[in-house]
Amino acid sequence: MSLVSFFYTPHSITKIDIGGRFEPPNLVHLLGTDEYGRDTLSRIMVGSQTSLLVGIVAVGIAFVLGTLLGVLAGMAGAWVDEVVMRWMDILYAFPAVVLAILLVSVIGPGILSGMVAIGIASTPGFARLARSGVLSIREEEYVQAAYAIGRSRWTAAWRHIVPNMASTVVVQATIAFAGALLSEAGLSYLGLGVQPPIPSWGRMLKEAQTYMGIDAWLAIFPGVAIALFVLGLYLLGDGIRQITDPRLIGTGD
Amino acid sequence: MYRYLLRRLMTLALSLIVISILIFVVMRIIPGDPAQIILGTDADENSLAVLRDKLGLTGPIYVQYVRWVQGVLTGRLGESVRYREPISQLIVSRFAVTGPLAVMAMLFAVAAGIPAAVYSAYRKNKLGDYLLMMFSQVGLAVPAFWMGILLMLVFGVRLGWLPAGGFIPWSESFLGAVKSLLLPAVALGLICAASIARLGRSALLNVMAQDYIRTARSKGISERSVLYRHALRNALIPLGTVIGMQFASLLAGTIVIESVFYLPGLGRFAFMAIGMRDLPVVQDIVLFITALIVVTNFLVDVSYALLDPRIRLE
Repeated sequence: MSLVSFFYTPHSITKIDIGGRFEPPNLVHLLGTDEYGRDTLSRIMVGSQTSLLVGIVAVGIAFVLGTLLGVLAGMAGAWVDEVVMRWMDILYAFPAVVLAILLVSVIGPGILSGMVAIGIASTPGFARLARSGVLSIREEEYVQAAYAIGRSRWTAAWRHIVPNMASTVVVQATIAFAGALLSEAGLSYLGLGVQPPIPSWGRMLKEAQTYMGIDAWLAIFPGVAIALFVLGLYLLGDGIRQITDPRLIGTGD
Repeated sequence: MYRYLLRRLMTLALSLIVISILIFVVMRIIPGDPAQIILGTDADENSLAVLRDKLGLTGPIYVQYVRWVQGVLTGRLGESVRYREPISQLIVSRFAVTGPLAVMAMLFAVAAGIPAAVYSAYRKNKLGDYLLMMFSQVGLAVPAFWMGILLMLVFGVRLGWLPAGGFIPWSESFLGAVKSLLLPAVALGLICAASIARLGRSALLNVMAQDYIRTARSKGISERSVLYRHALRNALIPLGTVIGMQFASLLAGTIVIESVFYLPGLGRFAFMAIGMRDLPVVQDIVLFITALIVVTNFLVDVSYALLDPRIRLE
Protein backbone atom coordinates (compact mmCIF):
# COMPACT_ATOMS: atom_id res chain seq x y z
CA MET A 1 0.00 0.00 0.00
CA SER A 2 2.99 2.27 0.12
CA LEU A 3 2.42 2.34 -3.63
CA VAL A 4 -0.11 4.99 -2.83
CA SER A 5 2.42 7.51 -1.71
CA PHE A 6 4.28 7.00 -4.97
CA PHE A 7 1.18 7.60 -6.93
CA TYR A 8 0.15 10.37 -4.62
CA THR A 9 3.29 12.51 -4.49
CA PRO A 10 3.93 13.07 -8.19
CA HIS A 11 0.36 14.18 -8.32
CA SER A 12 0.73 16.87 -5.71
CA ILE A 13 4.06 18.03 -7.18
CA THR A 14 2.54 18.68 -10.56
CA LYS A 15 -0.30 20.45 -8.86
CA ILE A 16 1.89 23.32 -7.89
CA ASP A 17 2.96 24.39 -11.36
CA ILE A 18 0.37 26.77 -12.60
CA GLY A 19 -0.80 26.35 -16.16
CA GLY A 20 -2.67 29.49 -17.00
CA ARG A 21 -5.57 29.89 -19.32
CA PHE A 22 -3.90 30.08 -22.70
CA GLU A 23 -5.59 29.91 -26.04
CA PRO A 24 -3.16 27.90 -28.11
CA PRO A 25 -4.02 25.32 -30.80
CA ASN A 26 -5.02 21.74 -30.03
CA LEU A 27 -2.98 18.51 -30.24
CA VAL A 28 -0.20 20.05 -28.19
CA HIS A 29 -2.47 19.67 -25.22
CA LEU A 30 -2.33 16.29 -23.64
CA LEU A 31 -5.95 16.31 -22.55
CA GLY A 32 -7.26 18.68 -25.18
CA THR A 33 -8.69 22.14 -24.71
CA ASP A 34 -12.05 23.50 -23.68
CA GLU A 35 -14.51 25.78 -25.42
CA TYR A 36 -12.21 28.77 -24.99
CA GLY A 37 -9.17 26.89 -26.15
CA ARG A 38 -7.94 26.54 -22.63
CA ASP A 39 -5.74 23.57 -21.89
CA THR A 40 -7.72 20.98 -19.97
CA LEU A 41 -4.69 19.47 -18.26
CA SER A 42 -3.58 22.83 -16.92
CA ARG A 43 -7.06 23.63 -15.76
CA ILE A 44 -7.30 20.32 -13.99
CA MET A 45 -3.96 20.99 -12.36
CA VAL A 46 -4.98 24.42 -11.15
CA GLY A 47 -8.36 23.05 -10.15
CA SER A 48 -6.62 20.60 -7.87
CA GLN A 49 -5.41 23.51 -5.76
CA THR A 50 -9.02 24.41 -5.08
CA SER A 51 -9.80 20.85 -4.08
CA LEU A 52 -6.71 20.70 -1.90
CA LEU A 53 -7.48 23.98 -0.17
CA VAL A 54 -11.11 23.11 0.50
CA GLY A 55 -10.12 19.65 1.68
CA ILE A 56 -7.43 20.89 4.05
CA VAL A 57 -9.52 23.65 5.59
CA ALA A 58 -12.69 21.55 5.86
CA VAL A 59 -10.89 18.57 7.36
CA GLY A 60 -8.94 20.96 9.60
CA ILE A 61 -12.19 22.35 11.00
CA ALA A 62 -13.66 18.90 11.47
CA PHE A 63 -10.44 17.51 12.93
CA VAL A 64 -10.00 20.20 15.57
CA LEU A 65 -13.67 20.57 16.50
CA GLY A 66 -14.49 16.89 16.32
CA THR A 67 -11.48 15.64 18.25
CA LEU A 68 -11.87 18.27 20.95
CA LEU A 69 -15.56 17.52 21.38
CA GLY A 70 -14.98 13.78 21.28
CA VAL A 71 -12.24 13.90 23.91
CA LEU A 72 -14.36 16.22 26.02
CA ALA A 73 -17.34 13.87 25.81
CA GLY A 74 -15.26 10.80 26.49
CA MET A 75 -13.34 12.22 29.41
CA ALA A 76 -16.13 14.14 31.10
CA GLY A 77 -18.76 11.45 30.69
CA ALA A 78 -22.16 11.88 32.34
CA TRP A 79 -24.34 14.68 31.02
CA VAL A 80 -21.55 16.43 29.07
CA ASP A 81 -21.10 13.26 27.06
CA GLU A 82 -24.83 12.98 26.53
CA VAL A 83 -25.25 16.60 25.41
CA VAL A 84 -22.23 16.64 23.08
CA MET A 85 -23.09 13.35 21.41
CA ARG A 86 -26.77 14.27 20.95
CA TRP A 87 -25.58 17.39 19.15
CA MET A 88 -23.37 15.28 16.96
CA ASP A 89 -26.33 13.02 16.17
CA ILE A 90 -28.31 16.06 15.13
CA LEU A 91 -25.49 17.33 12.92
CA TYR A 92 -25.51 13.95 11.23
CA ALA A 93 -28.88 14.84 9.80
CA PHE A 94 -27.31 17.67 7.82
CA PRO A 95 -25.42 16.35 4.79
CA ALA A 96 -22.72 18.72 3.57
CA VAL A 97 -24.78 19.79 0.56
CA VAL A 98 -27.77 20.68 2.70
CA LEU A 99 -25.61 22.64 5.13
CA ALA A 100 -24.01 24.38 2.21
CA ILE A 101 -27.41 25.35 0.83
CA LEU A 102 -28.26 26.81 4.21
CA LEU A 103 -24.97 28.69 4.50
CA VAL A 104 -24.91 29.89 0.92
CA SER A 105 -28.34 31.41 1.29
CA VAL A 106 -27.06 33.26 4.35
CA ILE A 107 -23.52 34.33 3.45
CA GLY A 108 -23.65 33.89 -0.30
CA PRO A 109 -21.90 31.39 -2.55
CA GLY A 110 -18.15 31.06 -2.37
CA ILE A 111 -15.32 28.93 -1.18
CA LEU A 112 -15.89 29.90 2.46
CA SER A 113 -19.45 28.57 2.73
CA GLY A 114 -18.35 25.35 1.09
CA MET A 115 -15.41 24.82 3.40
CA VAL A 116 -17.37 25.61 6.54
CA ALA A 117 -20.32 23.46 5.47
CA ILE A 118 -18.14 20.46 4.65
CA GLY A 119 -16.10 20.99 7.80
CA ILE A 120 -19.13 21.06 10.08
CA ALA A 121 -20.71 18.12 8.29
CA SER A 122 -17.56 16.03 8.84
CA THR A 123 -17.25 16.93 12.53
CA PRO A 124 -19.50 14.20 13.99
CA GLY A 125 -17.36 11.48 12.44
CA PHE A 126 -14.27 12.73 14.25
CA ALA A 127 -16.15 13.30 17.48
CA ARG A 128 -17.53 9.76 17.56
CA LEU A 129 -14.17 8.28 16.73
CA ALA A 130 -12.32 10.36 19.33
CA ARG A 131 -14.93 9.57 21.97
CA SER A 132 -14.80 5.84 21.38
CA GLY A 133 -11.00 6.07 21.34
CA VAL A 134 -10.99 7.82 24.69
CA LEU A 135 -13.43 5.33 26.18
CA SER A 136 -11.28 2.38 25.16
CA ILE A 137 -7.97 3.90 26.24
CA ARG A 138 -9.22 5.62 29.40
CA GLU A 139 -9.05 2.47 31.50
CA GLU A 140 -5.62 1.35 30.29
CA GLU A 141 -3.01 0.83 32.94
CA TYR A 142 -0.68 3.51 31.70
CA VAL A 143 -3.43 6.07 32.00
CA GLN A 144 -4.19 4.91 35.51
CA ALA A 145 -0.47 5.19 36.20
CA ALA A 146 -0.55 8.78 35.02
CA TYR A 147 -3.34 9.50 37.51
CA ALA A 148 -1.34 7.76 40.19
CA ILE A 149 1.58 10.13 39.79
CA GLY A 150 -0.82 13.00 40.23
CA ARG A 151 -1.65 14.07 36.70
CA SER A 152 -4.98 15.76 36.27
CA ARG A 153 -7.66 14.29 34.03
CA TRP A 154 -7.02 16.73 31.19
CA THR A 155 -3.23 16.43 31.29
CA ALA A 156 -3.64 12.67 31.14
CA ALA A 157 -5.99 13.07 28.21
CA TRP A 158 -3.62 15.32 26.34
CA ARG A 159 -0.35 13.51 27.10
CA HIS A 160 -1.41 9.88 27.19
CA ILE A 161 -4.76 9.34 25.52
CA VAL A 162 -4.72 11.63 22.50
CA PRO A 163 -1.31 10.47 21.21
CA ASN A 164 -2.46 6.88 21.43
CA MET A 165 -5.37 7.37 19.13
CA ALA A 166 -3.50 9.57 16.68
CA SER A 167 -3.29 6.91 14.01
CA THR A 168 -7.05 6.22 13.98
CA VAL A 169 -7.75 9.91 13.78
CA VAL A 170 -5.27 10.36 10.93
CA VAL A 171 -6.94 7.54 9.03
CA GLN A 172 -10.29 9.20 9.63
CA ALA A 173 -8.75 12.44 8.32
CA THR A 174 -7.81 10.87 5.00
CA ILE A 175 -11.31 9.43 4.63
CA ALA A 176 -12.85 12.77 5.56
CA PHE A 177 -10.55 14.46 3.08
CA ALA A 178 -11.85 12.17 0.35
CA GLY A 179 -15.41 12.93 1.40
CA ALA A 180 -14.64 16.65 1.38
CA LEU A 181 -13.32 16.40 -2.17
CA LEU A 182 -16.50 14.66 -3.32
CA SER A 183 -18.71 17.22 -1.58
CA GLU A 184 -16.70 20.13 -2.93
CA ALA A 185 -17.00 18.76 -6.46
CA GLY A 186 -20.76 18.51 -6.04
CA LEU A 187 -21.01 22.01 -4.62
CA SER A 188 -18.94 23.63 -7.31
CA TYR A 189 -20.91 21.68 -9.90
CA LEU A 190 -24.00 23.38 -8.51
CA GLY A 191 -22.20 26.71 -8.57
CA LEU A 192 -22.34 27.00 -4.79
CA GLY A 193 -18.61 26.57 -4.31
CA VAL A 194 -15.65 28.41 -5.73
CA GLN A 195 -16.67 31.21 -8.06
CA PRO A 196 -15.77 31.51 -11.77
CA PRO A 197 -12.31 32.93 -12.25
CA ILE A 198 -10.80 30.09 -10.20
CA PRO A 199 -11.14 26.72 -11.93
CA SER A 200 -12.56 23.80 -10.00
CA TRP A 201 -13.22 20.25 -11.10
CA GLY A 202 -16.89 20.36 -10.30
CA ARG A 203 -17.53 23.45 -12.37
CA MET A 204 -15.42 22.15 -15.23
CA LEU A 205 -17.83 19.23 -15.39
CA LYS A 206 -20.77 21.60 -15.33
CA GLU A 207 -19.36 23.56 -18.24
CA ALA A 208 -18.43 20.39 -20.09
CA GLN A 209 -22.00 19.14 -19.89
CA THR A 210 -23.14 21.91 -22.20
CA TYR A 211 -20.74 20.75 -24.90
CA MET A 212 -21.21 17.06 -24.26
CA GLY A 213 -22.50 16.35 -27.75
CA ILE A 214 -19.53 18.07 -29.34
CA ASP A 215 -16.64 17.09 -27.10
CA ALA A 216 -17.17 14.22 -24.70
CA TRP A 217 -13.60 14.31 -23.38
CA LEU A 218 -14.26 17.51 -21.53
CA ALA A 219 -16.80 15.69 -19.39
CA ILE A 220 -14.44 12.82 -18.68
CA PHE A 221 -11.06 14.13 -17.53
CA PRO A 222 -12.09 16.32 -14.59
CA GLY A 223 -14.15 13.39 -13.27
CA VAL A 224 -11.19 11.06 -13.65
CA ALA A 225 -9.11 13.57 -11.71
CA ILE A 226 -11.61 13.61 -8.86
CA ALA A 227 -11.90 9.83 -8.79
CA LEU A 228 -8.13 9.30 -8.84
CA PHE A 229 -7.53 11.82 -6.09
CA VAL A 230 -10.24 10.33 -3.89
CA LEU A 231 -9.11 6.79 -4.60
CA GLY A 232 -5.54 7.76 -3.72
CA LEU A 233 -6.74 9.14 -0.39
CA TYR A 234 -8.71 6.00 0.41
CA LEU A 235 -5.71 3.84 -0.35
CA LEU A 236 -3.46 6.17 1.63
CA GLY A 237 -5.81 5.82 4.60
CA ASP A 238 -5.74 2.03 4.27
CA GLY A 239 -1.97 2.14 4.01
CA ILE A 240 -1.56 4.24 7.15
CA ARG A 241 -3.94 1.98 9.02
CA GLN A 242 -2.03 -1.11 8.07
CA ILE A 243 1.35 0.39 8.86
CA THR A 244 0.52 2.01 12.16
CA ASP A 245 -1.66 -0.55 13.83
CA PRO A 246 -2.56 -3.96 12.52
CA ARG A 247 -4.90 -4.52 15.45
CA LEU A 248 -7.21 -1.84 14.18
CA ILE A 249 -8.25 -3.80 11.14
CA GLY A 250 -11.89 -4.71 11.37
CA THR A 251 -12.67 -2.35 14.24
CA GLY A 252 -13.75 1.25 14.10
CA ASP A 253 -17.25 2.31 13.39
CA MET B 1 -40.81 -2.61 23.62
CA TYR B 2 -43.25 0.21 24.35
CA ARG B 3 -40.82 1.87 26.71
CA TYR B 4 -38.10 1.66 24.09
CA LEU B 5 -40.40 3.09 21.48
CA LEU B 6 -41.48 5.89 23.76
CA ARG B 7 -37.90 6.81 24.56
CA ARG B 8 -36.92 6.82 20.91
CA LEU B 9 -39.98 8.88 20.02
CA MET B 10 -39.02 11.46 22.60
CA THR B 11 -35.46 11.77 21.26
CA LEU B 12 -36.92 12.02 17.78
CA ALA B 13 -39.19 14.89 18.79
CA LEU B 14 -36.34 16.61 20.61
CA SER B 15 -34.02 16.27 17.62
CA LEU B 16 -36.65 17.72 15.31
CA ILE B 17 -37.18 20.69 17.63
CA VAL B 18 -33.45 21.37 17.90
CA ILE B 19 -33.02 21.03 14.15
CA SER B 20 -35.85 23.45 13.45
CA ILE B 21 -34.40 25.99 15.91
CA LEU B 22 -30.98 25.59 14.33
CA ILE B 23 -32.28 26.19 10.81
CA PHE B 24 -34.40 29.09 11.97
CA VAL B 25 -31.52 30.78 13.77
CA VAL B 26 -29.10 30.32 10.87
CA MET B 27 -31.60 31.82 8.47
CA ARG B 28 -32.05 34.81 10.76
CA ILE B 29 -28.32 35.56 10.87
CA ILE B 30 -28.65 37.05 7.40
CA PRO B 31 -27.46 40.60 7.58
CA GLY B 32 -30.11 43.06 6.54
CA ASP B 33 -33.80 42.78 5.99
CA PRO B 34 -34.97 39.69 4.06
CA ALA B 35 -37.84 41.68 2.60
CA GLN B 36 -35.36 44.20 1.29
CA ILE B 37 -33.22 41.43 -0.18
CA ILE B 38 -36.20 40.02 -2.04
CA LEU B 39 -37.60 43.31 -3.30
CA GLY B 40 -34.33 45.10 -3.92
CA THR B 41 -33.08 48.42 -2.59
CA ASP B 42 -35.48 50.63 -4.51
CA ALA B 43 -38.61 49.11 -2.96
CA ASP B 44 -40.93 51.52 -1.21
CA GLU B 45 -41.56 51.27 2.52
CA ASN B 46 -45.18 50.23 2.06
CA SER B 47 -44.56 47.11 -0.01
CA LEU B 48 -41.66 46.22 2.28
CA ALA B 49 -43.98 46.28 5.26
CA VAL B 50 -46.54 44.13 3.43
CA LEU B 51 -43.91 41.57 2.49
CA ARG B 52 -42.42 41.53 5.98
CA ASP B 53 -45.84 40.74 7.33
CA LYS B 54 -46.33 38.02 4.72
CA LEU B 55 -42.97 36.44 5.54
CA GLY B 56 -43.81 36.41 9.21
CA LEU B 57 -41.02 38.80 10.05
CA THR B 58 -43.01 40.94 12.42
CA GLY B 59 -42.99 40.67 16.19
CA PRO B 60 -40.32 39.27 18.51
CA ILE B 61 -38.12 36.48 17.24
CA TYR B 62 -39.63 33.70 19.36
CA VAL B 63 -43.08 34.62 18.11
CA GLN B 64 -41.75 34.36 14.55
CA TYR B 65 -40.35 30.93 15.35
CA VAL B 66 -43.55 29.67 16.90
CA ARG B 67 -45.51 30.97 13.94
CA TRP B 68 -43.19 29.13 11.56
CA VAL B 69 -43.44 25.85 13.48
CA GLN B 70 -47.22 26.19 13.59
CA GLY B 71 -47.17 26.62 9.84
CA VAL B 72 -44.98 23.54 9.44
CA LEU B 73 -47.21 21.41 11.66
CA THR B 74 -50.45 22.48 10.00
CA GLY B 75 -48.99 22.40 6.51
CA ARG B 76 -49.70 26.10 6.01
CA LEU B 77 -46.29 27.42 5.10
CA GLY B 78 -47.46 30.53 3.40
CA GLU B 79 -46.93 31.49 -0.18
CA SER B 80 -43.70 31.57 -2.11
CA VAL B 81 -42.88 35.13 -3.02
CA ARG B 82 -41.52 34.10 -6.40
CA TYR B 83 -43.89 31.38 -7.51
CA ARG B 84 -47.01 32.90 -5.93
CA GLU B 85 -48.10 29.41 -4.92
CA PRO B 86 -48.38 27.84 -1.48
CA ILE B 87 -44.94 26.57 -0.44
CA SER B 88 -46.35 23.31 0.92
CA GLN B 89 -47.86 22.54 -2.47
CA LEU B 90 -44.60 23.35 -4.21
CA ILE B 91 -42.68 21.04 -1.88
CA VAL B 92 -45.14 18.18 -2.35
CA SER B 93 -45.02 18.47 -6.13
CA ARG B 94 -41.18 18.51 -6.11
CA PHE B 95 -41.06 15.58 -3.74
CA ALA B 96 -43.04 13.58 -6.28
CA VAL B 97 -39.76 13.58 -8.21
CA THR B 98 -37.19 13.35 -5.41
CA GLY B 99 -39.00 10.67 -3.38
CA PRO B 100 -39.34 8.13 -6.21
CA LEU B 101 -35.81 8.96 -7.36
CA ALA B 102 -34.39 8.17 -3.91
CA VAL B 103 -36.47 4.99 -3.62
CA MET B 104 -35.46 3.77 -7.08
CA ALA B 105 -31.80 4.50 -6.33
CA MET B 106 -32.06 2.65 -3.02
CA LEU B 107 -33.74 -0.36 -4.62
CA PHE B 108 -31.03 -0.47 -7.23
CA ALA B 109 -28.30 -0.12 -4.58
CA VAL B 110 -29.73 -2.97 -2.51
CA ALA B 111 -30.36 -5.17 -5.53
CA ALA B 112 -26.78 -4.75 -6.71
CA GLY B 113 -24.99 -4.34 -3.39
CA ILE B 114 -26.28 -7.26 -1.32
CA PRO B 115 -25.69 -10.02 -3.89
CA ALA B 116 -22.22 -8.56 -4.46
CA ALA B 117 -21.56 -8.64 -0.70
CA VAL B 118 -22.76 -12.24 -0.39
CA TYR B 119 -20.77 -13.35 -3.41
CA SER B 120 -17.63 -11.61 -2.16
CA ALA B 121 -17.92 -13.10 1.31
CA TYR B 122 -18.60 -16.54 -0.16
CA ARG B 123 -15.63 -16.36 -2.51
CA LYS B 124 -13.42 -14.62 0.02
CA ASN B 125 -9.93 -13.83 -1.31
CA LYS B 126 -10.68 -15.45 -4.63
CA LEU B 127 -10.53 -13.70 -7.97
CA GLY B 128 -14.21 -12.75 -8.08
CA ASP B 129 -13.98 -11.20 -4.64
CA TYR B 130 -10.92 -9.19 -5.60
CA LEU B 131 -12.53 -7.91 -8.77
CA LEU B 132 -15.73 -6.93 -7.01
CA MET B 133 -13.88 -5.21 -4.21
CA MET B 134 -11.72 -3.37 -6.70
CA PHE B 135 -14.78 -2.16 -8.58
CA SER B 136 -16.48 -1.08 -5.40
CA GLN B 137 -13.38 0.76 -4.24
CA VAL B 138 -13.40 2.72 -7.47
CA GLY B 139 -17.16 3.18 -7.12
CA LEU B 140 -16.67 4.87 -3.78
CA ALA B 141 -14.23 7.32 -5.31
CA VAL B 142 -16.52 8.41 -8.13
CA PRO B 143 -18.81 11.37 -7.50
CA ALA B 144 -22.39 10.33 -8.19
CA PHE B 145 -23.06 13.36 -10.34
CA TRP B 146 -20.14 12.50 -12.60
CA MET B 147 -21.43 8.96 -12.88
CA GLY B 148 -24.68 10.60 -13.94
CA ILE B 149 -22.93 12.66 -16.60
CA LEU B 150 -21.18 9.56 -17.93
CA LEU B 151 -24.39 7.53 -18.05
CA MET B 152 -26.10 10.44 -19.74
CA LEU B 153 -23.27 10.62 -22.24
CA VAL B 154 -23.48 6.93 -23.10
CA PHE B 155 -27.18 6.11 -22.86
CA GLY B 156 -28.64 9.53 -23.53
CA VAL B 157 -26.39 11.24 -26.02
CA ARG B 158 -24.58 8.41 -27.81
CA LEU B 159 -27.05 5.54 -27.79
CA GLY B 160 -30.17 7.62 -27.33
CA TRP B 161 -31.93 4.86 -25.37
CA LEU B 162 -33.05 7.01 -22.50
CA PRO B 163 -33.81 10.71 -22.12
CA ALA B 164 -30.65 12.73 -21.45
CA GLY B 165 -32.36 14.83 -18.82
CA GLY B 166 -35.68 16.49 -18.26
CA PHE B 167 -38.71 14.96 -16.62
CA ILE B 168 -42.02 13.70 -17.91
CA PRO B 169 -44.61 14.23 -15.17
CA TRP B 170 -46.22 11.18 -13.56
CA SER B 171 -49.65 12.39 -14.63
CA GLU B 172 -48.59 12.46 -18.26
CA SER B 173 -46.90 9.12 -18.59
CA PHE B 174 -45.97 6.74 -15.81
CA LEU B 175 -43.44 4.92 -17.95
CA GLY B 176 -42.01 8.19 -19.20
CA ALA B 177 -41.50 9.37 -15.64
CA VAL B 178 -39.79 6.13 -14.67
CA LYS B 179 -37.61 6.38 -17.76
CA SER B 180 -36.50 9.89 -16.97
CA LEU B 181 -35.61 8.83 -13.43
CA LEU B 182 -33.80 5.65 -14.44
CA LEU B 183 -30.36 7.04 -15.28
CA PRO B 184 -30.07 9.35 -12.26
CA ALA B 185 -31.31 6.54 -10.00
CA VAL B 186 -28.71 4.12 -11.38
CA ALA B 187 -25.97 6.74 -11.00
CA LEU B 188 -26.86 7.32 -7.35
CA GLY B 189 -27.56 3.66 -6.70
CA LEU B 190 -24.26 2.42 -8.10
CA ILE B 191 -22.28 4.54 -5.66
CA CYS B 192 -24.45 3.34 -2.79
CA ALA B 193 -24.16 -0.24 -3.96
CA ALA B 194 -20.39 0.05 -3.69
CA SER B 195 -20.49 0.85 0.02
CA ILE B 196 -23.22 -1.71 0.68
CA ALA B 197 -21.09 -4.35 -1.04
CA ARG B 198 -17.94 -3.48 0.94
CA LEU B 199 -19.50 -3.04 4.34
CA GLY B 200 -21.84 -5.96 3.73
CA ARG B 201 -18.92 -8.20 2.93
CA SER B 202 -17.12 -7.32 6.14
CA ALA B 203 -20.34 -7.70 8.16
CA LEU B 204 -20.86 -11.16 6.66
CA LEU B 205 -17.28 -12.21 7.27
CA ASN B 206 -17.59 -10.98 10.83
CA VAL B 207 -20.62 -13.18 11.36
CA MET B 208 -18.96 -16.10 9.58
CA ALA B 209 -16.23 -16.07 12.23
CA GLN B 210 -18.75 -16.64 15.03
CA ASP B 211 -19.04 -19.85 17.00
CA TYR B 212 -22.56 -20.66 15.88
CA ILE B 213 -21.42 -20.70 12.28
CA ARG B 214 -18.76 -23.22 13.22
CA THR B 215 -21.45 -25.23 14.98
CA ALA B 216 -23.67 -25.09 11.91
CA ARG B 217 -20.80 -26.21 9.73
CA SER B 218 -19.85 -29.02 12.07
CA LYS B 219 -23.42 -30.30 11.82
CA GLY B 220 -22.66 -30.90 8.18
CA ILE B 221 -24.88 -28.22 6.72
CA SER B 222 -23.85 -27.14 3.25
CA GLU B 223 -21.82 -23.96 2.95
CA ARG B 224 -24.53 -22.31 0.94
CA SER B 225 -27.13 -22.98 3.57
CA VAL B 226 -24.78 -21.77 6.30
CA LEU B 227 -24.34 -18.56 4.37
CA TYR B 228 -27.98 -17.88 3.68
CA ARG B 229 -29.73 -19.31 6.71
CA HIS B 230 -27.29 -18.47 9.43
CA ALA B 231 -24.84 -15.80 8.32
CA LEU B 232 -26.91 -13.50 6.14
CA ARG B 233 -29.73 -13.30 8.66
CA ASN B 234 -27.40 -12.19 11.40
CA ALA B 235 -25.58 -9.82 9.13
CA LEU B 236 -28.84 -8.08 8.28
CA ILE B 237 -28.59 -5.76 11.28
CA PRO B 238 -25.20 -4.24 10.41
CA LEU B 239 -26.28 -4.27 6.77
CA GLY B 240 -29.44 -2.41 7.71
CA THR B 241 -27.37 0.19 9.54
CA VAL B 242 -25.30 0.71 6.44
CA ILE B 243 -28.35 1.04 4.25
CA GLY B 244 -29.98 3.42 6.70
CA MET B 245 -26.88 5.58 6.79
CA GLN B 246 -26.71 5.52 3.03
CA PHE B 247 -30.12 7.05 2.85
CA ALA B 248 -28.89 10.41 4.11
CA SER B 249 -26.06 10.56 1.61
CA LEU B 250 -28.41 9.35 -1.09
CA LEU B 251 -30.86 12.13 -0.35
CA ALA B 252 -27.97 14.61 -0.43
CA GLY B 253 -26.92 13.05 -3.72
CA THR B 254 -30.33 13.69 -5.25
CA ILE B 255 -29.79 17.41 -4.79
CA VAL B 256 -26.82 17.43 -7.13
CA ILE B 257 -28.02 14.76 -9.54
CA GLU B 258 -31.31 16.57 -10.08
CA SER B 259 -29.34 19.46 -11.46
CA VAL B 260 -27.39 17.12 -13.73
CA PHE B 261 -30.55 15.69 -15.27
CA TYR B 262 -32.67 18.84 -15.04
CA LEU B 263 -35.19 17.09 -12.82
CA PRO B 264 -37.71 19.36 -11.11
CA GLY B 265 -37.08 17.83 -7.67
CA LEU B 266 -36.59 19.22 -4.19
CA GLY B 267 -32.84 19.73 -4.49
CA ARG B 268 -33.08 21.67 -7.69
CA PHE B 269 -35.94 23.62 -6.21
CA ALA B 270 -33.86 24.58 -3.18
CA PHE B 271 -30.96 25.47 -5.39
CA MET B 272 -33.09 27.68 -7.61
CA ALA B 273 -34.72 29.27 -4.57
CA ILE B 274 -31.27 30.37 -3.40
CA GLY B 275 -30.66 31.98 -6.77
CA MET B 276 -33.95 33.85 -6.52
CA ARG B 277 -33.40 34.80 -2.87
CA ASP B 278 -36.63 33.01 -1.99
CA LEU B 279 -35.37 32.34 1.52
CA PRO B 280 -38.53 31.02 3.21
CA VAL B 281 -38.58 28.28 0.59
CA VAL B 282 -34.95 27.39 1.32
CA GLN B 283 -35.71 27.27 5.02
CA ASP B 284 -38.69 24.96 4.55
CA ILE B 285 -36.93 22.61 2.15
CA VAL B 286 -33.88 22.26 4.39
CA LEU B 287 -36.18 21.42 7.29
CA PHE B 288 -38.08 18.93 5.14
CA ILE B 289 -34.92 17.13 4.00
CA THR B 290 -33.30 16.97 7.43
CA ALA B 291 -36.56 15.85 9.02
CA LEU B 292 -36.79 13.12 6.39
CA ILE B 293 -33.31 11.91 7.31
CA VAL B 294 -33.99 11.95 11.05
CA VAL B 295 -37.31 10.14 10.67
CA THR B 296 -35.73 7.50 8.43
CA ASN B 297 -32.99 6.88 10.97
CA PHE B 298 -35.67 6.57 13.62
CA LEU B 299 -37.58 4.03 11.56
CA VAL B 300 -34.40 2.03 10.94
CA ASP B 301 -33.65 1.96 14.67
CA VAL B 302 -37.15 0.92 15.56
CA SER B 303 -37.20 -1.81 12.95
CA TYR B 304 -34.07 -3.30 14.55
CA ALA B 305 -35.80 -3.41 17.86
CA LEU B 306 -38.61 -5.33 16.20
CA LEU B 307 -36.18 -7.70 14.51
CA ASP B 308 -33.71 -8.15 17.32
CA PRO B 309 -34.95 -8.35 20.90
CA ARG B 310 -31.43 -7.77 22.24
CA ILE B 311 -31.54 -4.11 21.19
CA ARG B 312 -34.66 -3.30 23.19
CA LEU B 313 -32.89 -4.15 26.40
CA GLU B 314 -30.06 -1.73 25.89
